Amino acid sequence: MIYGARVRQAREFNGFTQAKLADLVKRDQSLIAYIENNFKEPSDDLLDAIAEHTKFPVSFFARPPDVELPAGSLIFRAHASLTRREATEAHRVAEVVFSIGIHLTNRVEAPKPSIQGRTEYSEEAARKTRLSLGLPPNTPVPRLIRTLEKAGVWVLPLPNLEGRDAFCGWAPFDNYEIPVISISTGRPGDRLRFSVAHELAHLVMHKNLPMKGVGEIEHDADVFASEFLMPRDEIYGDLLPPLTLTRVARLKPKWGVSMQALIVRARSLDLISQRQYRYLFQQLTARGWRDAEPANLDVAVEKPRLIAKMAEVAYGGTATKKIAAAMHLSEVSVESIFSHFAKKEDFAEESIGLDRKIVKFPTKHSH
Amino acid sequence: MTAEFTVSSDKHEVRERLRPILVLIHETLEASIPIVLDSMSRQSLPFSPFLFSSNIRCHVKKALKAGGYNPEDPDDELPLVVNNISNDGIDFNAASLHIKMLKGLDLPKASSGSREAFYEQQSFAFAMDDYAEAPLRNVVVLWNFADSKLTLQLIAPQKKNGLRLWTAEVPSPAEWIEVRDRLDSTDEDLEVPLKRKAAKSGEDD
Repeated sequence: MIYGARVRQAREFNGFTQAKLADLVKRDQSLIAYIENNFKEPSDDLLDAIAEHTKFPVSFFARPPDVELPAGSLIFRAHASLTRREATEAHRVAEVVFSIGIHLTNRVEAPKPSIQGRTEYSEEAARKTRLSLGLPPNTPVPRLIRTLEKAGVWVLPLPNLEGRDAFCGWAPFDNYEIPVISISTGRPGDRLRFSVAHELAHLVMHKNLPMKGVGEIEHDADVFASEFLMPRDEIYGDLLPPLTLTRVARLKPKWGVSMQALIVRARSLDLISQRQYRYLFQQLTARGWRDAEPANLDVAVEKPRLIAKMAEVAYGGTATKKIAAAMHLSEVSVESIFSHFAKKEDFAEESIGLDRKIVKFPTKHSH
Repeated sequence: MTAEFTVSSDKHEVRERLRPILVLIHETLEASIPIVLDSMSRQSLPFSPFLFSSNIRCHVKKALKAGGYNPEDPDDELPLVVNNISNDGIDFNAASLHIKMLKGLDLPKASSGSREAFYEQQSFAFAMDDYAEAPLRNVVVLWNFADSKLTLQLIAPQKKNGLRLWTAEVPSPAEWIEVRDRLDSTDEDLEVPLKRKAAKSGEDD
């Protein structure tokens, strides 16, 4: 038996519309729609063609759909260039990575989630979440993703997905829910960290979608992320006037956030006027730093680890072949998925430790 | 005073030597420009390039006179002596160089005898065969602020008409930051602790 849901999953995984897949396999779009809705079974020839173009093994389509990553709970970061099709594609890729993790739970005890929903206002929720994660109240967070993974959050890296940053959701599993954050690879480290903190805010504050507009929800999440990564009590002293790009640059490696995020934080704490805020952003624009901040300040990109570690514990290594066979996926796909996770040997070279960097630079001077 | 540089010295070496002072000047300009603009705006004054530059010079001079540079890294200090000159110009000595700070995008022609001598490196060596070994005595820090962009250039002048030996762009200090040290935290457990479940019968390991 062929499952229509699998055909849809494989199609959307590749970002194909029904029309596009129909075109590739030289059939009518309506036939694809019938198959996806289980009204028709594809012929062997057609199934072979679908498998060839979607790069999924034929056996994948005969496997009943497993645990689903609920699309309804996914909250996408606002991104002008994100179309519904791109969003669906991102979701499908995340679903495949997630299903590998679920498969691995047959052999490995995944950490039980220790983060919880909060009803406090954003800043207070951020402070309490830091506390629940065992983070000191007022320090930079050196390894955000690892901290969350230890708290049972599954962070899924999504390969080759341009135009989107991250999304999240709670996935029902057994008798509990797994908090899942999907991140797009290829983002600068500082932006990735802010995106992850933003998604953490959604997990914590918007588990049951509140009756608020998207704009308000996103604003709340930004406020949470700012307080989580740059706690008011400590960052306040760092951002005292006069605030210059040079000082902001000096603070970037310390806090692991973009210069832009630091300027926004200074404004939100009322440490700079609207005019100064505008002036600083004008300078960023004039130097082309709105798009790419100076390379010497780059924050290292932290890779997720949890699911790769689960594979190592389950199979004594990444075991691409075994996972591919068990999941009815191609080895190439599984290899590609695991290439975005940190491996044990990466730790020696990992330079995420923001707290380990000391920037030798002048302190501010009086005027 | 023995000259540290000759007219043939690499411009980047000179810029690097002056780096602590250039960073100080850059950051002072960054901080003072909005303050001065704000102040003029609050007083409803029409923009006056003279007033603007004069105010900025005042801030820079104050910062230079404050002396002492990087308390976090004494090795990064570069002693300087600020000279008192007329017309609130900025003029100081550091690293065996006599440095003037001027505003503009291009080096203005010398308009006085002393400026001519300054531009010509107070040396007759340029007219001689061994000119390459002539000491580099004077440099200019040229600053400008236009279209929201602050620019700084380090210039080694050569002739009174504004001809120069070289020009070195001074990058924003944001691009000059060096991450030198790492605090070691090898005792931190980077791994996510996981346990293997007991194998179910018939499972393939």
